[in-house]
Amino acid sequence: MLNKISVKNFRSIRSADLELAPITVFYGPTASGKSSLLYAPLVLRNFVTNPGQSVNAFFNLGFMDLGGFEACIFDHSISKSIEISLSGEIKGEKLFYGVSFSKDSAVITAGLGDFRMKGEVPLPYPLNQTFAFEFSEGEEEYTVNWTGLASTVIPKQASDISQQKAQSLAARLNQTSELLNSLDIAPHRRGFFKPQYTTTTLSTLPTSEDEVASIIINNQYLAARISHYARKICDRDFRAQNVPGTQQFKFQTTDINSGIPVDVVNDGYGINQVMYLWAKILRTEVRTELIEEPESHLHPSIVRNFAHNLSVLVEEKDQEKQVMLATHSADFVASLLVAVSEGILPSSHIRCYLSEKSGSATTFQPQKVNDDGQIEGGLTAFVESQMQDLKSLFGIS
Amino acid sequence: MAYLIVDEWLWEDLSRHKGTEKGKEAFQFLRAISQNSDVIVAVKGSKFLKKALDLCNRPDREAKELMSFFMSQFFFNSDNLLQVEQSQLPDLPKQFEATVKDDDHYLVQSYFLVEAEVLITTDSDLKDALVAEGLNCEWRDYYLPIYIQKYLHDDEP
Repeated sequence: MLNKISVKNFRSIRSADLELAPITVFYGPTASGKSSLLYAPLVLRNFVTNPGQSVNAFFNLGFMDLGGFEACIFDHSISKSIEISLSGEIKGEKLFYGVSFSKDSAVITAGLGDFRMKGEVPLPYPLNQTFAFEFSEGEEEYTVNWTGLASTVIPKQASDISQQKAQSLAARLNQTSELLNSLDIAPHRRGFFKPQYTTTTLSTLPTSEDEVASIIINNQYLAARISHYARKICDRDFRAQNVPGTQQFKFQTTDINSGIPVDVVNDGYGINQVMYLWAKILRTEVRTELIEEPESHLHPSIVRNFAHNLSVLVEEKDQEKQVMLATHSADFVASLLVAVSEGILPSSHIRCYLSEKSGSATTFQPQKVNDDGQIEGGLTAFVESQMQDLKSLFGIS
Repeated sequence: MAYLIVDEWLWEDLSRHKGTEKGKEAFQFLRAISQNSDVIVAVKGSKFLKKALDLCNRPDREAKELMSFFMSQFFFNSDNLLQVEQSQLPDLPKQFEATVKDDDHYLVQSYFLVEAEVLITTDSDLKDALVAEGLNCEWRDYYLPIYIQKYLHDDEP
């Protein structure tokens, strides 16, 4: 699980160091920088996936091209560098990975526990450099040869046992890439718009309907798992069915009250969204799902069920799921707070940030949640428009 | 920061059942509490919150906006509302058993729980019983204008 993100000079974010939880929520006015916070780790992920690209290519997220380095650097000041880093934990190991992007070079930092490695590489980076570091654990000493992405480890005193330990250490160090590769996003543009799908090759960050359809088709358990949650969220059963005699599949939902099945494309648009989102969230390879406005097209009662089930999911020990989301829905946040008050989600497992613009820069104000499901400062960001209406209603100028 | 105990007049007034002026005063009172960082005490399952739910269930837009405001600014706000479980309430002191109605016991119990600054009411029997025992209990019509005058800064949103 990721437990911290640091971002500097990326789009409207001048500087942000934020603690993360199993559920991290960002809310605030339109264009206040919430999405930028979600996109930043994907830039880092792009670097790890293929460092041999031009610097501008790292800012193409697939579902959205942010326009390259110069378009994304804070205040368009190209003398600055864009710094993005993540800290997290896999199997009890504390991991760190960060990159400071300049126009034609990158400074990479990676760490395991207190051990840090740092190196500067040109961009594009064809992985042709090696940085050597000394590492000791107990009485054993090793040399770590690091490319900026991957490590090999050589023991100073060669023996069978030290070789095994060196291999184990290399595997632990190389988990940093796992931390990033298990990130995924459900962007604004989403849903299933066709009656039938065939499998397609997946990109590194699969977001298109064909890719998400392929993920469902290729995982024999995923449709049933989506169905499990869809029943609780919107009273729908979900199935992926092969069209006989073809390589094509259709996705059907069945209203569990009426029993009438329809192709998902013919069900309500909100239902369609729920299926897409939960396919992304439940995808086996994904640990951390970034979601833009999960409430889009959903009735408040379904928003509530969605938030409730998300709270249940992140607390399932064997799932190891984490969610970071940006929302404009007071109902969604309120439902998460109710889950806290009901004891479903511990208050320490949710972090809330109010995102606001201060001049040209985004600030993220942490708002602590207590065990009663209350939040410091309340949900005032969501009621500004009602406040104006109520003032008008009571004749207050 | 002070703890304020408020009874159900708040919902009657916000609903404008007693006229727009009362409604306006109740709304301004809530805004003043928010600006002054004082805290309303709400006992779960109490008559106070049941009346709030009644307003919540009203279908009109005005009620929805009022409840949205109250929920966002107070109910989910640890700075302005303290949620109390019935099980947290201390026993009612014996001297109030005969003088305070059963369904108002929670008001007195929560007063003692948080050592409240004041209990604000429109109920003359309740006020008489509390004042007789030295508790700070004020008329709604007396207390609100003073509080609003003192703490509401209308240049703030």
